[in-house]
Amino acid sequence: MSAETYQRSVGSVGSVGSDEHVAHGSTSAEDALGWERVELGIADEELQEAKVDGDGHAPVEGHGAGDTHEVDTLADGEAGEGAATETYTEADGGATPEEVEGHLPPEETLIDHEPEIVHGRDDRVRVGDTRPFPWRAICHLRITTATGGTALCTGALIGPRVVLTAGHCLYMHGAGGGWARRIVVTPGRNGGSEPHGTATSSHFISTKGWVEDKSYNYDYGVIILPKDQALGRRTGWFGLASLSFASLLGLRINSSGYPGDKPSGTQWWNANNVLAVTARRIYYRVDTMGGQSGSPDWRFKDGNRHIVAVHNTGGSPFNGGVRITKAVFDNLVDWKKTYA
Amino acid sequence: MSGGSTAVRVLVLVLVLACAAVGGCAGSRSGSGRSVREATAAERGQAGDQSVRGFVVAAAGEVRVCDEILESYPPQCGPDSLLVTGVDPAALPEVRRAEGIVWTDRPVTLTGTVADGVLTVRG
Repeated sequence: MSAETYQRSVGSVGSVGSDEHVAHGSTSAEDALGWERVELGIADEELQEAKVDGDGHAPVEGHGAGDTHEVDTLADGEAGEGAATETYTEADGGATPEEVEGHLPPEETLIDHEPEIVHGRDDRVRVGDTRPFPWRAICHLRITTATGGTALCTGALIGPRVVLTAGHCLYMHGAGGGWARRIVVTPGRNGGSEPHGTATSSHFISTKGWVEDKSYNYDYGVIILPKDQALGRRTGWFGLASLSFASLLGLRINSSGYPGDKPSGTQWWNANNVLAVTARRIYYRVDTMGGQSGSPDWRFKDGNRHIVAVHNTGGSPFNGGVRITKAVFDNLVDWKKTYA
Repeated sequence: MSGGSTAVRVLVLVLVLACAAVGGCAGSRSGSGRSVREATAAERGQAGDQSVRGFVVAAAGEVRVCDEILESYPPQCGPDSLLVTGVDPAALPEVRRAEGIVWTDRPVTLTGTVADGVLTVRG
């Protein structure tokens, strides 16, 4: 097992090793103790970023209603400590929907597979009570597009004011595309219930690789909540982890979001193994549908939940997400600090 | 568990998965038809009809077939896509509709000629 890598600013030092980078999340504001990332060896992925013209991870900032977009600058970040208190059981009875044991799936299930979004039987399970962590840190996103239309996505709080999601939920390509006008963020929405309130934002950040080059390798970004609507202080937030190829392959990940094919505003969870890993993406058979873009793909381990990828595609040969590589990790941590 | 044979099996599995993940394995897809990426690559050296298998998304008066869909709701076509002419998306099986967008949740096979990023379906 590769060692996790972190250091807490108040003096407690975690284990150091490999190319994994972990920032802890928080289940409540009181848990925020200020973890700081430690610079270690950088994975090979860093060297391949040049495939997109320039730096694909370079931040591009968007504001609703067609404001000028400016390029953000990078800064160090921080996160809070996760204190897991798992009390949730599946809505229809069954096992606790969290697993971290990684293993390779049977070979016969991996080859010559018909591409589907829901792979075989639909294994999604409704989250009946979205009030406990981590479900309350997963957000229903109601998007007003550049043309005034409506779209739905999912996001995850990674800081008091920062919601991680897919870039295409913030900036849409094609006819009528552009930056979203505004997004209503509802953490832990459960049908008509909004137990943690809502926030509305028109402040978004994505990447040059997505906004300018439409590369799904860089299809991620964040929503910055207004200062007086820091919903993460009520709900807590996820940690982040940049894991190595070996740690990701076969890892059992959780994903939960707000699909459009289910009753409005209901959250659905599924878990499965990572089946393939590339420099900037992971692929899996976690069942998903439209609306689940931006859902956190997270690892639950030793009581902590770390997002390892951001779900963004369904299809061939599997569903997939953008890896939290070192470059992604750095961007997210920097945005967290800038908009603490 | 034999360490040597297990290592070889894992290596083969990793190679197969990596190949499939980047869409570069000709014949790796089941169902009938090439992926958009494969069809686009074949366009350069092949005249005549091709069968292309992917998700169809019709939005803003434009119909596209794509290898992957971006899972907002309604979804968006992924970067690997072809413009499609000659197809009524509403006539495709099991289509979904929302916000004026029509799409298929499962891949469909379209047959026609591919040129300059356009799949022209006849009949």
